[in-house]
Amino acid sequence: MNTSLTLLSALIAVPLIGFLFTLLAKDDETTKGRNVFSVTILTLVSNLFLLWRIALNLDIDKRGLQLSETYNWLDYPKIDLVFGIDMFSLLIIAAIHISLIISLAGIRHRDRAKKSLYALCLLFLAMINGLFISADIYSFYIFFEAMLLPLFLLIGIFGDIKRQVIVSRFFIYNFLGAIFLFIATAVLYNHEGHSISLSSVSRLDLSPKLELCVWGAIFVSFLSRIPIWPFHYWISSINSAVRSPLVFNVVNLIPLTGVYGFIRYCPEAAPDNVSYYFYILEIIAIISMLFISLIGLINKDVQYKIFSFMTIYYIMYMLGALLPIDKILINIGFSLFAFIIITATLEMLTAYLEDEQEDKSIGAHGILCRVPKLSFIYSFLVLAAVGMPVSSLFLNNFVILSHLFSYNIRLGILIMFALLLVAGTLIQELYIFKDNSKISDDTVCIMDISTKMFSWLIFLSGLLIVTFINPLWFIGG
Amino acid sequence: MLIEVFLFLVVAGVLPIAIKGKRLSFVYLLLLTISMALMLGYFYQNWQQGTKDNFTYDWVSSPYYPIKIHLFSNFTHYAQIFPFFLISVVMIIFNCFSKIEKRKLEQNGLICLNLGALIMLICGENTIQLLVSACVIDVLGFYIINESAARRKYIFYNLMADMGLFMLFALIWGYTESIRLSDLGKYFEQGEHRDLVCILLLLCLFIKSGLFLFQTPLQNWNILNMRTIMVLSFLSTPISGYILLFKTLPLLPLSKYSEPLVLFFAYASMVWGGIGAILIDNLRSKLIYLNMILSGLMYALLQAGLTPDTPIFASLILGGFLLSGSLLLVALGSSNEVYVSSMGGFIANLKLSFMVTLFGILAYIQVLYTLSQTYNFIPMIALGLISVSTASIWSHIYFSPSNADERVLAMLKNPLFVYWGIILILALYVLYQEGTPDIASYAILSGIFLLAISGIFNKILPIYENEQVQESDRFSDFYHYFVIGPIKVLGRVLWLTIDFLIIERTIIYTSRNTVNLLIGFFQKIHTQAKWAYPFFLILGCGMIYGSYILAEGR
Repeated sequence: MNTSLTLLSALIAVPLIGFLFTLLAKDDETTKGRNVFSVTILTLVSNLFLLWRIALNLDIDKRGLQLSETYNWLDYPKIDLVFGIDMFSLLIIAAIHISLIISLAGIRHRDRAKKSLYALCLLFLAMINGLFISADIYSFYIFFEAMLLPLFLLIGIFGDIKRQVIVSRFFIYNFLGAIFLFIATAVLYNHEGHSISLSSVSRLDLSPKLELCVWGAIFVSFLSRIPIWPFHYWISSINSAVRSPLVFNVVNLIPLTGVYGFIRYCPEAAPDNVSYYFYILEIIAIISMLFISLIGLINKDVQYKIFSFMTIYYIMYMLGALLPIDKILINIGFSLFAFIIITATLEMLTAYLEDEQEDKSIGAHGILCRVPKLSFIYSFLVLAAVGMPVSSLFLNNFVILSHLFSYNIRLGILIMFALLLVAGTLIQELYIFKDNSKISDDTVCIMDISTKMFSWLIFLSGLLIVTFINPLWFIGG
Repeated sequence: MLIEVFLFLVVAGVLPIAIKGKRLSFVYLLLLTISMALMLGYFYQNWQQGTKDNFTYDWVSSPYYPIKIHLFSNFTHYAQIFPFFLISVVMIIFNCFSKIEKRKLEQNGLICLNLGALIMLICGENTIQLLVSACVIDVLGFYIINESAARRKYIFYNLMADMGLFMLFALIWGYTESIRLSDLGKYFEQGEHRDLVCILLLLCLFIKSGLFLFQTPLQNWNILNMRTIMVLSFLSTPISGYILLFKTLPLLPLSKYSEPLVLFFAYASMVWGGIGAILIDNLRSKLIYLNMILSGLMYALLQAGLTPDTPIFASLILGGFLLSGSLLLVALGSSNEVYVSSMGGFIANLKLSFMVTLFGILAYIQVLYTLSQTYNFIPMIALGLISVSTASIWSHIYFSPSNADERVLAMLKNPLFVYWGIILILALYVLYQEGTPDIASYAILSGIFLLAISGIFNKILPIYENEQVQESDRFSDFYHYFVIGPIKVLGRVLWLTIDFLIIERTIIYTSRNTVNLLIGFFQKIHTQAKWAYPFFLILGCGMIYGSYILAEGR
């Protein structure tokens, strides 16, 4: 270990301990899931506190991963677990924690089999934290694949309808990705004779043929996680099938891992030989964006609309990350921070609306008309999601898009068109929810959110506004 | 100084959220109205005294993307802000005295916030400040509307315009690496796709201002009350579009298409506005069409060189507001009757309103006449259209035989003093600013009056009965059938062919069947051992031999 403070490994250890506690916690009719809920929330909050401590130790201006920690795992072959973090990873990890807290608040009174749900959620958190603090290719690979196990179980147990079908799709696509990344990692390891840090992957001196094969494998592997055509189908079908906001959010963090893979593997100095892949990737990415945004526009399922919104943004971040400009990484980080929180909250509220609709047997038209608290928060979130100046999405997307425009204006225009379509999709949905033309005094209306929930959501909205005003507020930046 | 006004407006606008209870609301409403009037006085005093300060807030201090928020108090900004400040105060007072407005406090709070955003827009020295202000104005406009049918197109159109502007400024920043408006000219030296930049900018601003082809969202406002329409027309997106154009003027010379585009849309808006104001029966629609003439005129004059920091610009805005105010007096006097075909003969009961209207129109005519001396025919076109429209409206409301129902006639009376009094004061203020009216102005006013009483416009009455004409502004149908419709069809086709047919029915089914086939095959060779053993034996031998060959006998 290079540092006496093992803060980074604690980021993995704390959820694992939480996982064990959750398994041991009493969960029956008397406790009604309170124990496991408390343990999970406590774990998440503890980790957020840890993140804050880590943030204070980070040098914002320094490039590369910091606070490095190394654990010897195997001597032969020599494989270590190497951790490191920068502001980008930290922002994403923090956003994931907040999004999970939001989702937990959303499922507090709805989901069955709470114990296993919370336990798997914490296991997933430990794995995804591991991924975002991995500093070498082996550690990355291990956590990249390890997170699939809790995810597989979460979908299998809580994927409400057509579970078997979507689990099989999930397996096919992710297994494919896993094999490709494994091959690439093994080849690179074999080539160098030792594990390679993430920052130096793109600078390896490989033969042209090997470079093409290895990078091809890496690209396919990461793409299998991002809803890029034709890989989008497994995630979209899961999104349409899953009704639990927690599972939905967890599933929607998977594309983030693919985008993150691109960010870490292809920094500024990506090999020239690989540019061939970039062109293909750009074309596929832009087709996917247009394709999914158009389907989102016509699809009547709100979950699909949120999925299409998330997909478009993820692909935009991926394209931004592939640009040969490292300084926009932090913009992507700030943007993602707000984006993850916004989508998690939107999904949680959408699930609440759908539940209420089902309970009261009413349609979506004007559903928000008589629930001022919910209406206010939902409107705010939609406005934030479409890029209005209320969160860090606004300024940071401005920077990301301006670089994309400078890089290739046609690409930029098509991205903007997809963003416009997906923003229109969300606004259209908001309009339907707020359409009071068919509301009369005797119309059955849903129940507004509780004051406690409203306060929590106001706090989140405030957090988003703070990210708009000063993104680095939490470390006094 | 402007920072003080801005902060006051933000606080005054946000406080209504926390205020509950009828009595407290009333007290706050009163306090807000008085303090807004006082703030206007304070603003005017500082303007006249030439108070200056350079307030800057260092928002993002990153070396790559430094962003500052400017609220400079200087003559240019005072001059631009003044008419909107005055109109805001007037509208707040009108709201206070309204008998039908249920959301007085909320509406007035929104007007304060909107004015704050408008001040930020006017003081903007960089593209980010412009974008933020324009978006805030859009959102506030959304809440001011508070009617779902009127909101729908408003939010979609403005969203498109905002995203277009977002794209445009991002594109410019990508080339110039500067967000400062003073550096927009650099794009001329470094930037590419200049025609795209100009055309996109203009289209976005035309959408915001509701110029010809993009007037549908504004037309949907005709279900709102007159005060709300006036607030939206004079303080919201139509004005923000115009100010944005003024701020980004250095970009227009980039393309040879800029000038013809501005002029075409400006003239087309004036003409379309004039036609609509004459032929449409709905009084609120008439108001919107009349404001469309004003928007077109403002764009044409900006192209001709009239900038919003000149005193005559303030008079122009106030003149347009007076014309709207004169229609408001009619609406208030006739218990919010909407159709002019159901009016007529109102002169008997609304003499005072008509007299005030005369002053208001005279002031507007004088402003347009003064402008015509510098900008020749552009204001004359607007003046002609407004004169004919006004004559037609007066004719139907005041001088034609009465078509009003008994209820309206029974309730017909001049509105409260506060309404006509304020409009009269504003008219006198504009006349004072523009000097003694010229003979020509009196002549035009007389001409309008004569036209109105001549009865010539009674021939239009059958057109008001014609539903096809009344629903003729069908640009929304055009977008629905030619833009949104095809996009939706494309989305559906893609979903059916790609997602359903290719992926679901082909790839997924094929892979599933292949896996099933393989499973079946291996199951078979494991269970039917008769031929499985020889098969595996041969396979194993084959593999050993193959690896021997590949290893070249080693």
